[in-house]
Amino acid sequence: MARDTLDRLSAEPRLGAPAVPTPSTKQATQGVPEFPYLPLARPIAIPVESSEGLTPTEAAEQLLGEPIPFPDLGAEPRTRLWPPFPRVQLATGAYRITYQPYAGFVTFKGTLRVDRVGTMTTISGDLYRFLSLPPLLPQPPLSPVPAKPPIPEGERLEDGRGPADALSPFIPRLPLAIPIYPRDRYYSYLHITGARYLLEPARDPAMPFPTVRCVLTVQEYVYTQPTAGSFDGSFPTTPTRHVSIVLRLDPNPHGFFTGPNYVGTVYEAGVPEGSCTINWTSQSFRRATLEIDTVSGAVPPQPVPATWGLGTEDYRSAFAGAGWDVDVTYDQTNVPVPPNVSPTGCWPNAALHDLMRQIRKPTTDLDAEWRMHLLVVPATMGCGRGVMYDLVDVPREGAAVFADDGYPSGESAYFGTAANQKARDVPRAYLRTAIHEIGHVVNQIHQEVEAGADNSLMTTTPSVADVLAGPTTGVAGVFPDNISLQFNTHVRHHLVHLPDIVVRPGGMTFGSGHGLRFVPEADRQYFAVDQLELRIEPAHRQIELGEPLPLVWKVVNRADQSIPVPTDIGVEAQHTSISVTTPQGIRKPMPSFVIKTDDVTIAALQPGQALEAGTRLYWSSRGFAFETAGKYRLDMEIVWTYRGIPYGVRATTEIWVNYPQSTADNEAAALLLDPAVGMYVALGGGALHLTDAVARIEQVHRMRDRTDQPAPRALRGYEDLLPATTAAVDRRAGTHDGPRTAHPSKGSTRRHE
Amino acid sequence: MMGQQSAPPTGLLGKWHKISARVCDTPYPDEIEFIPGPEVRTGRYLGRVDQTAKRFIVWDAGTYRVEAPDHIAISTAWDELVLYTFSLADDTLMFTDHDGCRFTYRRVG
Repeated sequence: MARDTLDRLSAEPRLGAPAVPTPSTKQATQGVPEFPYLPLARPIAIPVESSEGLTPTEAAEQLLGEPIPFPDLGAEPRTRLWPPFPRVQLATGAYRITYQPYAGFVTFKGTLRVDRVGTMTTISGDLYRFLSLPPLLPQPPLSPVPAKPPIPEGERLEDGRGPADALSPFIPRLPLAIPIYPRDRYYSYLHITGARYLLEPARDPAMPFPTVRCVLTVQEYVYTQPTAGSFDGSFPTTPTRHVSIVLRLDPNPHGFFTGPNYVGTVYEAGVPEGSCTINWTSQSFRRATLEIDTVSGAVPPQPVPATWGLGTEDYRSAFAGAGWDVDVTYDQTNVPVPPNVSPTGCWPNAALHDLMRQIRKPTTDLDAEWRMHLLVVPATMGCGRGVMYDLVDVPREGAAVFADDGYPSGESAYFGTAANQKARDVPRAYLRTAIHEIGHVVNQIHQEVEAGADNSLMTTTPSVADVLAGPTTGVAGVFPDNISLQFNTHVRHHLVHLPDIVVRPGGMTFGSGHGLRFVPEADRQYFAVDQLELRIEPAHRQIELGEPLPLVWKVVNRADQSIPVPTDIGVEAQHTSISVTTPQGIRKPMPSFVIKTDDVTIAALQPGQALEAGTRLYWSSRGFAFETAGKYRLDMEIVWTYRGIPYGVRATTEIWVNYPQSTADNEAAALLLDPAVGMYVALGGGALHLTDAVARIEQVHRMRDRTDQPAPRALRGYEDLLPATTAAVDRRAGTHDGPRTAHPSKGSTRRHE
Repeated sequence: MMGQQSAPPTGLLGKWHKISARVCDTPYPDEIEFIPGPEVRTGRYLGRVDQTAKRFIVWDAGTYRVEAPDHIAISTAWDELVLYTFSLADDTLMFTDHDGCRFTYRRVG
């Protein structure tokens, strides 16, 4: 392929998405329909114009004139491919990535995670920055160099090298471990939004195969390191830059017996910026160590028989399910109880924290390893079973689990044989609590507020019991025998793809990435308009100051297959968010005044079907939507998660708010732009107990009767909101002009065939 | 921390919408539902936040236990059991946290 083609390709770092996967119509277990994967492809730079719309194989055939054999680049050649390119793929797992800019004395190292779930592939990565002085600079005076100590067994150096790596360079070495770098070197998060394979025709007769290049489209979010003493830096809410990484297979990966290795170039706006290598390292995405210390009088949770009947389940298997390689060390037992602490009471967080700092591995260095600590203490019934106590100082270093706490029957009617038992006597539930708390250490939150209560590790224990017992959940089993010791797909996604600095112990504080701070994540898949269209239909494009805007929106399935969407897309159901950007450029969210999420589920929207909902956009707890005259932008987004994959649709429109044209308009705006009126409108009218609001609206209504000036035009927005008495007067007098404005439904979604 | 329970807190059950809007009460959910358990003074709760202004909340899901007519222990997002002062009058539920932040919910269901 010509260089200019690659440059042109790189100059168009537009969003991309996985290519069209194979539709599936199979039924999942428990009667839940299995939605087919969706044609999510978005415009992406295509190097060969005629390949648009073709499969890569077809494109290759067209490009090269005849079918060609494809070299096998992947470690998993028989798995489903993304893109559907036979025997060419980035293998699942963690890669070491090194980026060397052409300019400057800085090298970036980190990891890239290629994660394939079903036919969907998500790729994310993290970079750390290191100084890389060129060899021509003056070197420091030579001084005696002490012999490097051997790397102890079980230990690894900062760069991940272990004892085996210290052997002679002539001895083939095992793959390097997933690298771990210091937190203060953390530089950026990489969100790969597109990937494409390209074929470059063979030029050397001795090498009849074409060169295969992989092009990654990357959004980079550069992290601002925190100030001294703080652990919370910040990510920008939009990518710092867009780059493309053009890679080719490196046939000679320098003697390492590793997986596929790629070398290539990083382009920004079509300009080559540096060289890049990507070396497959591990089938796991991340690695960590868990140290367990047990206080005198307690017993630690132990591995339990696997529910599938073979072997056992433990911390390691739980995290392995989320792609983490966790090394577990059962360390000290009979740790003395600290003075002034009652071992059989509820332990204060400070006592747990102090004890952890005293007894954990003395050389613990969170910049050299991701080390998590679990403290096992006796405690007593009613202390909460466990706690992630570490919200002070260095965040999220450890958690505790309570051996003599348990399952008070008051918290759930479905604890079964575990009811009122001590945790230590219910091994499966006890182990679950321990892993749940470690889940908090790596910054995961309760699933009741994310994916929904389920039988997975980050749902609270009583909810798990209820889920297992609930006749409508479809989850078979009883507590505690059928407790799942796995993270659900939502948490798994977080564990794999949230930035390093968000999940690693000692990183950002608990809650970051869960609404506490903006954190980028390679996750949400937004539908293209020709797949699932979100259409905003305001009743008017121009409104008056003080006039509520009736707004209807529709979600239309324009694809040829069903798409899982929320059954209720009203703002009250919390899947839909609206924001307005004022003429001054200030973006203001307009949250629903009412929350109504009970009945919303995710269900199939068939091809051609549409959902419709509406609201009256005027006021929210954040204030008025249209408080001044001028041009406003209205953004709407509907988001949901299905089977752990976050989806979304979004749309934008513009509204013009007129400047008052008369004294009446001005007076009406002054009366109507009042929070009481705002609340009246938000409640859909009829809230007669808001007497001040009613009085204001009626006062504006009476202004119609003046003969010295035109009626206030803002009244148009109150036709369906007028207090009953006023409306009745209107009806008797026949003073309404024309038909009433269609009132958008409140809190309900209509379905159209 | 754990005192003796007295008055049955049946009035606590149900859904509550936060009506105060102080900076200090931001970490608390916009809506909270106290779900009854087999025993009156103990049960589960579920916090909800307006997703258009998605934010981290300290009461996301967990358990509560009424320790006294004016004290309630509520588990946090990180599973710590924290004691709060509360009062219940008609359809208004007021909490005071350990930092002195006072915030109010109104019954919605």
